[in-house]
Amino acid sequence: MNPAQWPPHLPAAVVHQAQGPLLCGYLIALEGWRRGLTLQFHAHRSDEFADVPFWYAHRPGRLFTLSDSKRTVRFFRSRGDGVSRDAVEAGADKTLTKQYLHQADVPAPRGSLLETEADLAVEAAKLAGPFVLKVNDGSFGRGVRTNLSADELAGVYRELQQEHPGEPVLLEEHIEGPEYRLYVVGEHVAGAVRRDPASVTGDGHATVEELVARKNDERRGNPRLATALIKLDAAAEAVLQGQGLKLDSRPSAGQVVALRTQSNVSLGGDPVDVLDQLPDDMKQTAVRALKAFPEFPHGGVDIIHSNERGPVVLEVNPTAQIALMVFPMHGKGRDIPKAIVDYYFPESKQHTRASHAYFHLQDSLMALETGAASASEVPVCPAEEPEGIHWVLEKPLDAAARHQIYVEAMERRLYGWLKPKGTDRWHVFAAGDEAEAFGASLPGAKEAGRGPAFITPAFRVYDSREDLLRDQAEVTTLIGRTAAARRRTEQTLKLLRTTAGLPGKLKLFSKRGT
Amino acid sequence: MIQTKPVWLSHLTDAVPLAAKDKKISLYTIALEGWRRGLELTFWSIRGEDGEFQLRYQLSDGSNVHQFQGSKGDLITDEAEAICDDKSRTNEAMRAHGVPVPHGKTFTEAATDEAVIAYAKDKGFPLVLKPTNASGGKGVIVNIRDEASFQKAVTYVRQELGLKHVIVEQFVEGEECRVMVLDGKVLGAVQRRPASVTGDGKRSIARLIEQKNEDRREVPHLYHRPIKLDRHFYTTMHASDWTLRTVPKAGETIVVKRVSNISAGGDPVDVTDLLSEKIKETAIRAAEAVPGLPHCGVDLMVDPDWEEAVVIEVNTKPGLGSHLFPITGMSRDVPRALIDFYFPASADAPRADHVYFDLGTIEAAVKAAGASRITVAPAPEQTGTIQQSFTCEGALKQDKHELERFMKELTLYGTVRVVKNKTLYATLLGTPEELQAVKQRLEEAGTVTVSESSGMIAAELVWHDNTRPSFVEAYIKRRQLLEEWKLEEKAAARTAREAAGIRTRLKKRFGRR
Repeated sequence: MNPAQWPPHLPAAVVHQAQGPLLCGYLIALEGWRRGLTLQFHAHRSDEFADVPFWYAHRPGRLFTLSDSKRTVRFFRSRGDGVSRDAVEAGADKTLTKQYLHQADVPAPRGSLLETEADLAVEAAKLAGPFVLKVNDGSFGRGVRTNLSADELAGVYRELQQEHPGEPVLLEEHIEGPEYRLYVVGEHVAGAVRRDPASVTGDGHATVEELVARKNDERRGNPRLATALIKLDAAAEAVLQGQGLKLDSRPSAGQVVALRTQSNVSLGGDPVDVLDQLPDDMKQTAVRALKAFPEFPHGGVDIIHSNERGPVVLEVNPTAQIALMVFPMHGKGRDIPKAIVDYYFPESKQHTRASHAYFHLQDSLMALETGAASASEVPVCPAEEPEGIHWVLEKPLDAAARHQIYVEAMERRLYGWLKPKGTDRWHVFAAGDEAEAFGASLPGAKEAGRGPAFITPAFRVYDSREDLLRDQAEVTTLIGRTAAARRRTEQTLKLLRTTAGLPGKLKLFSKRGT
Repeated sequence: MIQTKPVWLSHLTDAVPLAAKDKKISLYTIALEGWRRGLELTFWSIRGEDGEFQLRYQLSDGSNVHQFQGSKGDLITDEAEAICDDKSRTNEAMRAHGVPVPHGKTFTEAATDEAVIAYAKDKGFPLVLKPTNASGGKGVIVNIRDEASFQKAVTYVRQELGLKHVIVEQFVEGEECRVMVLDGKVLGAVQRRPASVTGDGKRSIARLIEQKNEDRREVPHLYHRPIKLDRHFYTTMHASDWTLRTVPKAGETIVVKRVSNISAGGDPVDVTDLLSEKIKETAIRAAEAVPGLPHCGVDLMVDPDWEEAVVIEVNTKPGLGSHLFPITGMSRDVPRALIDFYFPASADAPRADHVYFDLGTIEAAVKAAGASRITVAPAPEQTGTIQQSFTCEGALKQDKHELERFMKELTLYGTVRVVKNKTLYATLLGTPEELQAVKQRLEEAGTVTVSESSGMIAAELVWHDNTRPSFVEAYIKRRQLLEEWKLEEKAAARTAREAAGIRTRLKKRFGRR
């Protein structure tokens, strides 16, 4: 399969800072901000979001607004406020989803909600096997059992009830066929991926365990998959056992070894871009699926393609993850953030996107993180692409020295950054009128070329949390050292003053004084 | 001098966070006053001369918006500011309004040094030489007693500092004092007294200074301003019979520096009740003399009997620290008066007097260019809430993230500290029902004790975890340390320069090292 091609304006180095649940929102926020829209992040207590349904937003970064002079759009992760509360509620309830789809004549799996175990036999009789059992409001592949025979139903039903006590269970017909996740914006399908269950391909030498480690390394380089590594747990071993394999088996070259039955990306599944191969009827079904709901202009649609029935809509997702389509494992990354911002701010299509600029998410969320702020606006995006100078600095830089470089760059009103590149090696980039002079003020800096680079709205020193903690100890030592030196000079000074005019004594301390 | 315990405003005690103690007392206390009354508080950043981002703020009641910079509000016009920033224009305005100012003359860039000196000789000594537009006392030389010193002063200010536009004035004997005027009324007056220590008959001057510096850290705006053993200190010591080891008698007050600047270790003293009606009148009229200046700090030189005064300077952005936290006397609630003036409708609004907001993270986000505009989370409602302290002992490691979410999703305010994954301390403000829910939830995690609590409380739910301090905590802590380091470096450089200077002089005198 072809290696993936991701959008060049979203390099992993920029996007990696927004991991896990923050990624999808960051991609949209960044797209809007780069077009010159005003970007604000909000606290979950903010009145502004009182009528927007959201969850797990007690940590900031999930709620934000984009605005131009005419309107403000509120987002929860990938979902803009054009998506109605009804659509969000319907998306979370699989029975309700089915009802809406049915009303609009969009094909969906037949099935019904089970009140008691007794319903199981009655409802199963109405459908042709095999079957699927799932909890009504599960997500991330939670509480789903597929391809069940009529005999298995009762046992699995009891299992689900034990695992998810009190949650209603849904019985559906099992539809065989490849499963796709599409993302629809307005009248168009903006992206589509097939999700393959977690697997590795043998090379004839490496063990399954080694192959998984290798694949996880590859996943770490992918902004979306970095937080969805393959886990070799009991479930994986069971699947291996089903193929007559163990963790230390060495599959032959080209042999595909499955590690999961579910295809969820969060369980190690591979998103593969399929937009260009997608048949038209499937795209149309997806667009119609969203239209089946009240005010649902953009969102995810899970479709299975059955040989007998054609495309069948399994689920709709108003707060879908878009990152797996932007950063697929194979194929072309699709610019979903662009499609969403185009939808809400059609006029902004004409603006040039300042693709060279980004904002550092952690810095922007600081005041929200502690709860001090209810809203925090990101500084204006530097619109012009900066031609700047790159330098390499090969020497240890302690916290104070790095701070000095920062102060120097800020005084000169430069854009750019200082980044660690291995031990005692630093990469400096600066753009602005005084970049040359700034370079001259960096002792030992070797110029390493000129050209553009990704920049934030100021000069930034890259620190990880660990760097900061180490710096604390370092600066404390520095303060101690400076204070001790000052005390010594003060002592000397005191001596100087009391002995001034007494040449006899002067000799004595000129020895240690100078 | 009799040291009496100062009376400070109870609603500002322990309410000034560390981040505000560094030259942001006025900004913080005015913003706090408005915010506690329920006004919407927004900070935004502008880029200062040093390229760093600095804070500006605004308060809004929904229909009126007022912007502030330090203690200067937007009802002070740009023209008023321009007049106050230029000492010659200030003097003109005062004279035109019949407000007493010291006699003197302004010299523009075109004037020669000789002309300035000739005027001085004609006028007679003692004199003051000051640049018209330098701030913070830079280049102001007072009590010049003879021609030789005056010549030196002129060379220093006009040539070395390059501040050619100067004023030569008669030097008025007396005491300086700063009067805060708002809308035709005197809000308070403070005076700076030179750094001093009072003996107890046991401890040496060195130990007394140490003690005094510890005490100064309790005063918000003096936190970063200890008595330093600098040039002024040694000059003063040298001119006296004292050394650092001298033990002053009990009750004996020793002035350790001649300069009275707060930053040099001077003491701010409230002198509001010492002002005569005539002095008050002078201050009020000084403010009126500048059109578009509803409030300001008037610097006066008052005669030794405190009967009359002349106006030295008018400040549009006077620091409020000394009015709020004087070392003796009473604090004067200038922020309250200012907000009453800017937002009269809010005068009777209930104030959340026991909560404060954290300026530290707001400033950190702005300085890191992560935010250009920050709206502060509103102050909690005043009705139906109580305050309690919780301690929970248990194995918290597994549960702490869920606990965090649980508590953050309630409308709680205060601080939570998780220590070593074993103990959780929380001081929380919320409704009794919410706090009961917290107690129940904590009981799932460990053994809980609850006690009543009072005192200042953070107006957000701040979550600290010492096993994993957050990026924000680490960032802010490092920034504080770097600031401290910079101050220390400066102090060290100063001392080193001075030592070098003395050595050079000795070398000249004795011809050897």
